[in-house]
Amino acid sequence: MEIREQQHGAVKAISPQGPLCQADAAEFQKVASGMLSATMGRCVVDLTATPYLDSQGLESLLSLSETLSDSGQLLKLCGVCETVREILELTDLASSFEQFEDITTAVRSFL
Amino acid sequence: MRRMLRQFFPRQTSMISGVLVMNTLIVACAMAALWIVVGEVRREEATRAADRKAIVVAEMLRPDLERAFAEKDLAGARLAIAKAAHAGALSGCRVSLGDGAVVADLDASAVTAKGIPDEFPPLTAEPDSHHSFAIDIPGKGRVLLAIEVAAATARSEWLEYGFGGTCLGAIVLLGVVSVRAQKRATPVTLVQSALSSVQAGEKELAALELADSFGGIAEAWNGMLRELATHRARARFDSVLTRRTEPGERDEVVGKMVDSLWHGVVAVDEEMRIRYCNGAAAVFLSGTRDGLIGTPLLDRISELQAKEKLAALAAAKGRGKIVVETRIGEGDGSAVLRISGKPVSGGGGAMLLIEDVTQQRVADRSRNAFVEQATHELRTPLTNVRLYVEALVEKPDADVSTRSQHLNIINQEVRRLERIVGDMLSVSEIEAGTLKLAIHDIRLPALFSDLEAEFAAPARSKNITLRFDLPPKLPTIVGDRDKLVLALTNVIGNAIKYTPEGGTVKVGVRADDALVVDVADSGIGIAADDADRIFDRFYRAKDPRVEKIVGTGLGLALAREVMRLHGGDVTVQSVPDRGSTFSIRMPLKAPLSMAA
Repeated sequence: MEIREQQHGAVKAISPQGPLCQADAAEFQKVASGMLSATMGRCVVDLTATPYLDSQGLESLLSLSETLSDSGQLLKLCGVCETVREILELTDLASSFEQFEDITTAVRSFL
Repeated sequence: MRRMLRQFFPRQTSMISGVLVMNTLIVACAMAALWIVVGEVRREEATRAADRKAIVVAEMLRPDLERAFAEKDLAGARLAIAKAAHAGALSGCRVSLGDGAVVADLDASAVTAKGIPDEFPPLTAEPDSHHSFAIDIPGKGRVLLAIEVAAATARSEWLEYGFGGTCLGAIVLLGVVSVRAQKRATPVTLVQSALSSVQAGEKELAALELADSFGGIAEAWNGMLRELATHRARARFDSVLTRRTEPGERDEVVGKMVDSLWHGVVAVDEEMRIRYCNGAAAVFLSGTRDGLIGTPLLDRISELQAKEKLAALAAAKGRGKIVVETRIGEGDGSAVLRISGKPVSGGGGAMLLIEDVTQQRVADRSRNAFVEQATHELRTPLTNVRLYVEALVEKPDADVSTRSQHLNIINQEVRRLERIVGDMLSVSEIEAGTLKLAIHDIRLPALFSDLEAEFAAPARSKNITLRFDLPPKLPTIVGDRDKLVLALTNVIGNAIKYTPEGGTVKVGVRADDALVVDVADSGIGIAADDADRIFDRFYRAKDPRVEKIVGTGLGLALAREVMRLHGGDVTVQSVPDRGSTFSIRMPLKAPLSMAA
């Protein structure tokens, strides 16, 4: 699975290119976890190119958000498509993340 | 007491046979006490019974002895004594005179008087009315009758022996039961009984230990208890050590509340050692909370000025609030932290609030650079406009061609100003977060057809071969058409602008899992040092050939921002003097018309 990284000032955006499922989810979690640690939490997950995710993908996002919650933060998501948004709402996990319309708004939240 | 007992009776005797041993001791003590008490009571009763019997026997003997002594019938007196002794089961019975001469006795060998005198010497010892009685013989005086009663006393002693024997028997029996119980006890049952004791509230670990003689299970159990004892001791130690920072449940709740803050909160003592820090502070200081407690905060700060300010604050040299900014870490992992501190009133140390202002500082720098560059970019065309307008004003009689040339230049500079201002407005909108995408369906064939038509003339004017390689079928995608056109126009326009005459510009389009537009030119290329920065606002490559070409340095920055808003990006690969390839990538989404 391709995982793209973008630098927006001091903020890193990480963007999985495809569905977050199975082994891809584990790989994504590993990469994102390292990035969160390296940037002290200044990281945004851009899901623009993620059409859907399975339980493992959901778990990887949740795990990242829980890691951040120790320091009073939540994982910032942007570009969430309708399918992923519905998954988050149906599983009652939408409140476990901060959601933004696009990457610019998400990056501005660090100001 | 209990602990002392446990030292002598570990669990293998304490829980089963231990109880028996205790019971044995208790029963033995109780029976011994009972033995003593009953013995005493029996002894007293026997004494009283003997006294009563002696009185009765004495009263029975009195008339017979009075008659026998009055008649000097010694044999009759002795016979009466023998009969009374037999009837009363006496152990001894004696009649003696005042001078001690024994007149009659059950033991004939004890008689010392030869006969009964006419007058009796007076009694030297007074009778006690329990075992000795005075009997008056009319006309002769008094004799002393002594009676010994032994039968009841003997019965009492036997009873005592019985009690003693019973006690000993009980002790022996309990001992035997204890030993048998000990032999029957298994480590598992002992562990079960120990766990039952714990459930019942037993907290003393020494009371739960088993004897090592019970084998591996007992040793493992005891090892576990020792480990638990160590943990308890350590917990007590830690509790004492951190008493000032975690004094109670209430503070724990407050601690959790502070942990929910995304700002770091740190409490330090007079020597700037960390006494408390929340989760966010631990992240900012690149450590764990437990690892940070007790360590000097200043060790984690490298900038001298910040160190000095914080040290003065902790030592209460500064009374008011201080704010310092310091950079920690290096490279991509570095961060700018703003530390606000205030001394704790009434005690040493201080409270610190740590904020991560890295992104703010980056934004500040970017904004300042933007203003500086914008001023510079605006000044150049404005200066040109002013100069040519002044020339026209000063030379009202200039010929038509000169006037026309000046007006053309003024027109170009004004259009340049217009472009700069337009780009700056777009950048400002992005910067302010007010630039929003107007999402619609985009028909790609029509879009690229328009672009091909738009750039055909500029390419032709430079004799550049412009080729669009489009797949036979392009999908309809979702996005902001105007913004996508803006990005493509900037990239394709740059390719034509920086490609020398006679060159080629190829626009390749793919639309598999994402829309990818590769714009490849045979232009001047980009040096590696510049490649990372050409997307910065107002940045222009340090190449003399670039400097000759008019540009604002905002085009590529805008293109990238716009594509990032779509979830995509713009990247570049370039070889100096051979050309560059810009790739515009945008993830595909289902068309809105299909979704509806």
